[in-house]
Amino acid sequence: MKKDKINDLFKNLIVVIIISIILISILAIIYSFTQDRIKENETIFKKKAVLIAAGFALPAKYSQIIELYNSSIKEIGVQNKVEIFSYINKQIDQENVLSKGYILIFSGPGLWGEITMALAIANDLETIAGIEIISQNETPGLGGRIVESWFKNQFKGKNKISKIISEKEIPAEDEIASITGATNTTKYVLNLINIGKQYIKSFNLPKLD
Amino acid sequence: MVKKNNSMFKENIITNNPILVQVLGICSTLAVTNSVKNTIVMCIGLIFTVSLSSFSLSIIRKLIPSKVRMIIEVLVISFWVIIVDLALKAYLPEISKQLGPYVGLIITNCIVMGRTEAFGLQNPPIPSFLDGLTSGLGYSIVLIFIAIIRELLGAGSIYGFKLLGSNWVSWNIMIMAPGAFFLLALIIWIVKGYFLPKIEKK
Repeated sequence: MKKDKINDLFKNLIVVIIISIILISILAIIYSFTQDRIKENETIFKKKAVLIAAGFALPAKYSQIIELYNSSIKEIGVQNKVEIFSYINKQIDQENVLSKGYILIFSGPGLWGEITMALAIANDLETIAGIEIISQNETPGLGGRIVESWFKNQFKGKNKISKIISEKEIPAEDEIASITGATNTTKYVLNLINIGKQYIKSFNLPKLD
Repeated sequence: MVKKNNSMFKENIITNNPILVQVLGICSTLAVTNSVKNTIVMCIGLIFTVSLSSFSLSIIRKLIPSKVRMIIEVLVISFWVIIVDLALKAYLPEISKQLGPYVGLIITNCIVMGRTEAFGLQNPPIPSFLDGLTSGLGYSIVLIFIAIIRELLGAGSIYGFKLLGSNWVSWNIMIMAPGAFFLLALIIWIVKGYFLPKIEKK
């Protein structure tokens, strides 16, 4: 009787182990097939985010995006977990202050979790050239709307932001329209931009010629 | 066989709908239905997972000792969910980013476990597959219906297209989880109180 029980236990264990091994090996094979593509997608995503933050108009084709990235973005390095890039945008007038500058990728607090952002600062080291949200965990449909382009685009060319107004109004030079129902997330984004500006100052980056 | 499949179709989609009647899979109903686009991807993921899990468990059902069947169910379900996740990451990265953790949470969707446990382990592979498929469809119909209402009232759009003019004041409650609670309760009430008795009388 007792021996039966032990046999039973042993049999169950063997079945579970064999099935696990089979499933895991199939998954490992699938993983090895897809991981190159997944990695590629991630680097593309980041490269796109860097370009969008700096205000580039993205070409349609994958190879053109890579070409644009290679010709106009320079990777400077990583400092305090902040990735630093510099850019020269030949798509716009070279006299424009936004045509050159730095891009930082960094994370900071949001309402629910971390927000990772690419922030482009123009060559005067003050004016925001643009932002792009790389990852966020805000409330879907409310704070999650910080990824929408109308929200991100309003930061372009702004220098000092002193006031948050409601979504329906049109923001002036020093104002930002907040997302209805997600004023706190909007504040966290502003806070993040200020953190980014402080990084720029603390890194002592030289002005680009 | 055909007749049996027909009745299964009717049962899983209408009279024994996983959400409206069995009240399974509620967490994802509340979580993903604030935009139609995410909901559709979630539904496709779930249909895929529940039908293939039922199918593959049904193939090995005679080899599984009853004491460890739940462990094996979970193993097989997570196997298929990881495949869905990898496929989305590799081929539809944008949608994968939007869905975030929800894909992984298909593992905890009670419908998958419920169907494999109730049907897949007792029946041959093909009916199990169809059972999973129809249950998934029953789930999807309700979810997409809720998503359309929530997105329309909460953001004035359907599938990202603005339908209501700029004068429309969005109902923020619809975008948040409580909105889904109210809506789901209303739908269950109407369907169970009004439509189901009529269908069952026939």
